[in-house]
Amino acid sequence: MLNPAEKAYCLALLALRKRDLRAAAEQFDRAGDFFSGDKEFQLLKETTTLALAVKAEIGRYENEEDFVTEEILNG
Amino acid sequence: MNHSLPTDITTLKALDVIIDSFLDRAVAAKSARLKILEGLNQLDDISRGFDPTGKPADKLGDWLSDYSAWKTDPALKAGDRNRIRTALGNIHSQIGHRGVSSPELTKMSAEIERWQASAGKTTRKIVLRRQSEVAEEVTADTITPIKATLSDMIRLLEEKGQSKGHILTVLDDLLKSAELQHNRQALLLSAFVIYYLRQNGYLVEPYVKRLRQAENAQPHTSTENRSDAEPR
Repeated sequence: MLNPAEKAYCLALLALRKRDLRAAAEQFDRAGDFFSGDKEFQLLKETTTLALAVKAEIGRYENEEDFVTEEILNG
Repeated sequence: MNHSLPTDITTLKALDVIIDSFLDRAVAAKSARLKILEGLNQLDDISRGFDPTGKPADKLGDWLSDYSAWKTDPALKAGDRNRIRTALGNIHSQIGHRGVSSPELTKMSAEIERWQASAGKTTRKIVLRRQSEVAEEVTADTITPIKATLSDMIRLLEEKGQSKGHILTVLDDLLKSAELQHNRQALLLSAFVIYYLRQNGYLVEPYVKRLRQAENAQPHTSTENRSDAEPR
């Protein structure tokens, strides 16, 4: 009834609703070929990738700050 | 990225908030459609693993109860109704085929029949138009070429289907052959498969677009063929 790509797009949106960006990105990747001409799909897919990249960068930054603080406190 | 600037993290966090907000609003804007897709997806899962003696039968009962309002919901598209009808039809025939009987299954079976009846048939109409007929001067054999083409198409489908697991993979392959190798048989077969899938409730828009591209890539033998290939 639903083809695998449609199912993946649906699961991606449900994952976004739960703010599970990693799961959403995986499902968007699965649906990518089928919806390659769908602009709305592409926008959501790319924005999800961007959101993950920004969060990863923030995480990296905060880890670095923690490391510096620890270095200062512990000598 | 230069991490020495203290404003970097502030900018990143601000960007993060904006992106999250965008995604939230994008999903919210699709919430009505997403609810429908969620229901279709659940029914799809149930119909794929349906066993009248197992848990899926309980899930079907829940689904029929949760989505009973859909019978008359105008938000459902004709394609959605077709998909539901197909899935429920499959489940209904599974119940009949296995010959399993219990009060719950009898009730579900009756509920499916009510669903099928109340959902009604799609009201979409296809209007076919053609120019007024002109008698041909020579009575040519118009049947034999089509029969030959159909035989070629069956051979092609068997050939492409041998190593492919799913019809969508076969269709993808056919469209590539039609566009890149200008294979006319592949083009005709792609059109047939797309129409078949549409009749069975699949979303076929992306494939229709590719079919048009493949059609436009064909070498044109006459002016008449060219005008038929133009997107409308």
